[in-house]
Amino acid sequence: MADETLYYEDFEEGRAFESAERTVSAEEIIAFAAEFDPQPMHLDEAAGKASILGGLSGSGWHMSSIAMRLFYDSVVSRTAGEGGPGIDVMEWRRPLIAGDTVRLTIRVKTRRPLASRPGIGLVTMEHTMMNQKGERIMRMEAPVLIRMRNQHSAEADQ
Amino acid sequence: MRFEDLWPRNTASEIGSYHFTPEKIIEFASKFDPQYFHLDAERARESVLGGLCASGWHICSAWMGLNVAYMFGEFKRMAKDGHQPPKLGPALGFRDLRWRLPVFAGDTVTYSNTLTRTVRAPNHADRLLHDVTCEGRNQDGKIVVSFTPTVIEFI
Repeated sequence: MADETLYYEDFEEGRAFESAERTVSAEEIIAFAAEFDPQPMHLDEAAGKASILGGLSGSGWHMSSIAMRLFYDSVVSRTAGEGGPGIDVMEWRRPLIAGDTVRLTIRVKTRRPLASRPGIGLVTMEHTMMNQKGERIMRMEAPVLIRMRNQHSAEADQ
Repeated sequence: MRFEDLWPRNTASEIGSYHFTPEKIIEFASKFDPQYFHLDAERARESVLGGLCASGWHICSAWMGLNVAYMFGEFKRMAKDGHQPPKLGPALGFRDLRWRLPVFAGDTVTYSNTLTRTVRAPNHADRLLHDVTCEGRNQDGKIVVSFTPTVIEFI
């Protein structure tokens, strides 16, 4: 039933979603960096190798934007979402190196109905990005607003 | 020079402005955040946001572009005056990011950085960790985004 819309009720605490894999090329790392983060280690292979990061590496904001796309494709695109107010914590733990293949795991941490907006709940999810070596390169915690399938779920939850 | 010479403590430094054209909003969103209110002006008008607006990640990435340009400009100025720029490590991430208001097509956001907190890195006597509170305001002076990255300085 993967193609059915997901509502607040479907985001039980502990439930996990897996994204598809995505290989990040040197060209896209350089294109992103040229526009938004033109530091040498994101633009030039030799400068990246010489840096503490050990290779041509993607901007943290590029890694975050790729996580957004993986989250969109695996969850947001089939969820009755009302947007996210922000990010509580973002950790760039290891570099994203050109040629890496990454995937995202999204796990429901907590959820609660919003008193101020009946029929909508706040679901906080933990996003973890892994590379092809099984290293955790990014972790974040972020709340998302999601509509309820049934407004009375709020009472059942409490 | 030290990090604190670049970003005076508890004082907001304006780093520049970014103009969010519909073309830029749609280009970014089609790559990274293809929710309809970032892609389709007509449908966006019926959304809770009320119009075509930028992805939150676009709003932050635009900050980074201005931040790098500002820092490199300051490093150049320091070098010209015969000073070494501060030695900074890669960013570790950030916390408390809030997209407070939508950034609509046609908006211009002006960003500022404020050094708010410094601690010694646990286990590394040669490193400081700096919290920098970053803010973006639209052309009406309203805060649209705020977040706090942590930056390493080697001392």
